[in-house]
Amino acid sequence: MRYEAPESVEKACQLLADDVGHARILAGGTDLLVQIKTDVLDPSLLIDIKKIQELREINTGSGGFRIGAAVTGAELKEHDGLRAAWPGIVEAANLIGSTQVQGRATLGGNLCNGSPAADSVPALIAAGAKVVIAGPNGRRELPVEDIMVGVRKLALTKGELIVSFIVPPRPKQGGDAYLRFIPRTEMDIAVVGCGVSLQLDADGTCTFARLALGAVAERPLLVGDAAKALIGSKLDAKAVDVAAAAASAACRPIDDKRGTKAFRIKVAAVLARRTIQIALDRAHGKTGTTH
Amino acid sequence: MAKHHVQTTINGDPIEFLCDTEETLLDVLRNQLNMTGTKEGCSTGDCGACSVTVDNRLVCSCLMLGVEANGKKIGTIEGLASGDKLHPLQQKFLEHAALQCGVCTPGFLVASKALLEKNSNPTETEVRYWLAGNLCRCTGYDKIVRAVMDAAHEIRSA
Amino acid sequence: MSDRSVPRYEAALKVTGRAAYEGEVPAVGLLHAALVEVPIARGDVVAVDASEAERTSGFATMVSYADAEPLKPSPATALIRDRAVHFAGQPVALVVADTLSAARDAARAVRVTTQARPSVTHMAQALNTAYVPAMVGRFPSVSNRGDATAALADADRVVRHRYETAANIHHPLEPHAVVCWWEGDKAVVHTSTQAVFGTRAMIAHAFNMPPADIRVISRLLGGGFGCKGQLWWPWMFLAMLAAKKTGRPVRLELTRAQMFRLVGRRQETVQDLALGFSTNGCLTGIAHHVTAQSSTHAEYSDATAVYTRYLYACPNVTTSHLLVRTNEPQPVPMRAPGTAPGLFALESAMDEAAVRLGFDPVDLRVRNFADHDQEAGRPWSSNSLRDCYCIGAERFGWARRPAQGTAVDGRWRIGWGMASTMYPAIRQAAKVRVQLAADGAVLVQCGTQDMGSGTYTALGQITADALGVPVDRVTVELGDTVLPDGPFSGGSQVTASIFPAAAAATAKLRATIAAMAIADEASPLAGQRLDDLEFRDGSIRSRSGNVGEPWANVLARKGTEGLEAEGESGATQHPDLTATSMGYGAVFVEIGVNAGLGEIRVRRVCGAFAAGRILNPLLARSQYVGGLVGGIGMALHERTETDRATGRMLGETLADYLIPTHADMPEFDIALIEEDDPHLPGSVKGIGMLGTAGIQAAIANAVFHAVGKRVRSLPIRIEDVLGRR
Repeated sequence: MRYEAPESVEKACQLLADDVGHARILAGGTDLLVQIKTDVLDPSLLIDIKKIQELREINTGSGGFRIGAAVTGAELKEHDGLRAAWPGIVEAANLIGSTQVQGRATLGGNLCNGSPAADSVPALIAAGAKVVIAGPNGRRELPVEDIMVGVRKLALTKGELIVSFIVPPRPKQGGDAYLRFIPRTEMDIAVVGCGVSLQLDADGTCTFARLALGAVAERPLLVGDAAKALIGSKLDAKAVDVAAAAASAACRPIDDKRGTKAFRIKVAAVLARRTIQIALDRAHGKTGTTH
Repeated sequence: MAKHHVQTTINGDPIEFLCDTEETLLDVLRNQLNMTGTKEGCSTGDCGACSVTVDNRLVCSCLMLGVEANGKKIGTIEGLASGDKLHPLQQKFLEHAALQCGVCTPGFLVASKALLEKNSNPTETEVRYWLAGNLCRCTGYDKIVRAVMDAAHEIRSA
Repeated sequence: MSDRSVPRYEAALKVTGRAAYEGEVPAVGLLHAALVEVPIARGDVVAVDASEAERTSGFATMVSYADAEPLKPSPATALIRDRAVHFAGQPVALVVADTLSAARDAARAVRVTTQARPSVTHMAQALNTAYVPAMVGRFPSVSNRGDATAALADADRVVRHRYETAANIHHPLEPHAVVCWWEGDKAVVHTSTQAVFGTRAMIAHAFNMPPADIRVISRLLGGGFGCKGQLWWPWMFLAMLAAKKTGRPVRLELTRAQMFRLVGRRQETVQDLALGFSTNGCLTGIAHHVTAQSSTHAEYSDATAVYTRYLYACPNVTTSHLLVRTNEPQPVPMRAPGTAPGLFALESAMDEAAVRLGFDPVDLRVRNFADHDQEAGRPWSSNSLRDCYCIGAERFGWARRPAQGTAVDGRWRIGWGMASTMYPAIRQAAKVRVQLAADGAVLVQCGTQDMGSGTYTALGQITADALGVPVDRVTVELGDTVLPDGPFSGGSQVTASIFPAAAAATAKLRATIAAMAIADEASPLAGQRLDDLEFRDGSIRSRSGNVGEPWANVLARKGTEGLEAEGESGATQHPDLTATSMGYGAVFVEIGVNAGLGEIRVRRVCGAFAAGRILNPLLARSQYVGGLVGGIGMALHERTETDRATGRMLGETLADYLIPTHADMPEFDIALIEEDDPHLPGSVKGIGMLGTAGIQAAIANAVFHAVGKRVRSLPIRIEDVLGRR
């Protein structure tokens, strides 16, 4: 197995494009190295992207954020501006594995691992984040929800790599949140995850909403019907009921040892309600975490 | 293929080693450098027994390649005590009987030290969540929380 | 209690990373081993072809059944000397190479040809083949006291249900390891085992060697919980064969994934239990019938229903055990074997009965307390179970238990539950050697090993107490077959077994020193009465005359280099016992069930345990809490599942097999109820198993109390709590 640690995006893309075997990007390695050790993957080349400065930075400008793909969960948590603006994203990223894993696991890796249960992805989708992709033909942008197309399947072509996430400015009177259900208190892979982002106008009417679910389909889902139910409402019980029902209706889960179909569908609605409530509290300026 | 030449600092000492791409930092520590204080419990990042710090960041050394350690500062259990003088965390683990078989213990100590360096006055909940990635099958954990809280208190009062 | 709560003997090594476990033993010219596994669940190995592996870099040799055939057949060698495949993922060869990664590469390059045959991958597929094993451990499989069938037919109330428990995996944090080499015809084996002497005997049998030519060493053990007993790790023989073939030391360490398959498991059980009561709450009949899994290559059954014969007073009790052989890994004892699954059924059913009969669960148990061993018809050596109920209930605040289904804390619905726990107190034969140096230093030796539970500390304390010296004067050596014979670590009996042997050895030394002092004109104790002398604070002194001197002075004047004595004690002689000995406990828990999601959190646990005299309260509490957490894991998370089509495990990482984490754990309140037991040397009973049993039922009972759902299958699935049953 070869190892390369390029210092530019262009060099990384070149290595990817030139590889004739199975090259893999090494960011935090918390999924990749496990897959190599358990013989799921046998890459011929590892491209360590952590020496590329652009991928390691969080930049703020015009109120929004540009988060490098190789920024770790622990680094997100230490960024006061991001934590204040998008607590749901930061909390989601910090639910991935243990403290040790958060010290290595990156936002780009969580997405590119291609797991429908990735915790940060529903939160990023709810926030309306975009992904900057670099490749042999230059750069392009895609919404986060368009990246994962199936289990371990990405909408990237040969030679392409994710450079950064563009997260919009936090809307005035806006709030986001992410909740997941797991059997233990910590450490587990989500049985269901739910990310919500909301914006209210001056009289408390919801003007913008996005709700995304993880672990209930072959990829994370943006649930448009849930947003429709919320937008224009004052987030009263009836609107939330409709949104929660829409969340359940959007699920097309599988039975596995982590949870049954019926359970996941039920939990999606419960989590949707609770996540909407936290996002709403934040939109009203109330603080607090999900723990 | 040629091995990677890695220059690193471990517990303050400059260390050089050669490794294959496949070798994890844990493999290098245990098999090449004979630093067996760092334990291998699972090799998939689920148990925390191999916890070390890399540039003061807590990580599982089983989920990091040896070659990635180039230019980094590594901290392991062997660096906790100063000569014969135990670190307060080690002393408190001993006094509270916060260990049984001892295989998880180095990981708990390294992780706890990383916590206290970041947060000298953690709540019990913060300790429990910070250490959730360190599994112990013998002790039942509660003595570990007490030992960490007690050590934090002692370090603050020192 | 504080002067008995001395820190762990070997703790300083463990907190500094200097503790060397057996897999870490250095050896010059060490070769690394990797196992070659086959995916089929049943069949035969046709050929093992190493020609490609031989060309990989660093390859040294391969051993397979062809090399193992000269070993003597036994349950321990069945898996390595036959061509039969008994379960998916079974190793059929071992490759050694210069480095571990070279060994793994070479193992991947070995080509194994197999002939698959139809397999049975779950008990449910072969219930028609169930049979009664002759024994379950040291107990008969079947028991009948009175006429349970008639009693149940006549009972005023009958609670009759099926309870199920999943297959669990021990998962000590240290995977099994061996470093072995040959010195001529003699073997040196460093291995993480709970039984150095048992391992030596097994090697001696397999290799047809005198035991004296084999040295097995297990000085530090990174946990075991039953999976490091001598029989369950035949892969060690392959490493020894490879060491012989290459003339070099070989190290084999199992991976965590292999720990799921190769070193045993707690067997899956299906238990049919019926309790008959009179309207006044007295048990009139019990029927407890267990069906459990064993492998196709070896028979093992936990004594799951056995404790139902003892725990409560009841004139009519029938119990039985059936086994179904499947192409799954071999079950072995695991933490509270038998009691953990068996008491889940019995103590859940008692709670169901309490609800049906309108009794408080504690009252119902007290009402049915067995004041003697009704199965054997003899007294208990001691039994403080009622104190456990009483003290545990008091500390937990049981009297304030809210009505079922009424307690709420935010989104959490709160439930309280309780259960009893028990485990037999037994001893094995043991020898302990104590050496005194002329400077007063003490060395105590026993071959038994410390699983991590505290044997070093306990033996040091026993010896120090007996000789009247501080514990830091005592050096303890364990875990080596060159030392005096000691028991295996299992069944919570090491401390009870070595205590009388250490007492005998130290008594001899005291008598010798006392005789020397009395006869020594230069001693202030010259001419004193023997029975007036005591050992205290490093001295031998006269109780009445207030004279004495450091006992080391007595030795020094004689010019001796030191003294040595060996003490010996025997195993529990079960048929000849005049009293039955068990340890007991009562565990009380508060749980919360999340109203929308059904997740269960244990909020508070109080355990009251009575198991003889406690040598070290600090370490005893640690063991109880550790056991309770193991029990919480079994109740809420731990399950291993087999893909019934292929026989493969579904997931072989600790992200798949969930064990409790720090964040899941509540505070524990542990009451240590000390007992004087005139039948047991030093009143010592084992304690290790008690915490792990009982709590499963206490949690299930608390779930019922919180939400009205009775869960009769472990681990408790959230779907069971939310769904309709």
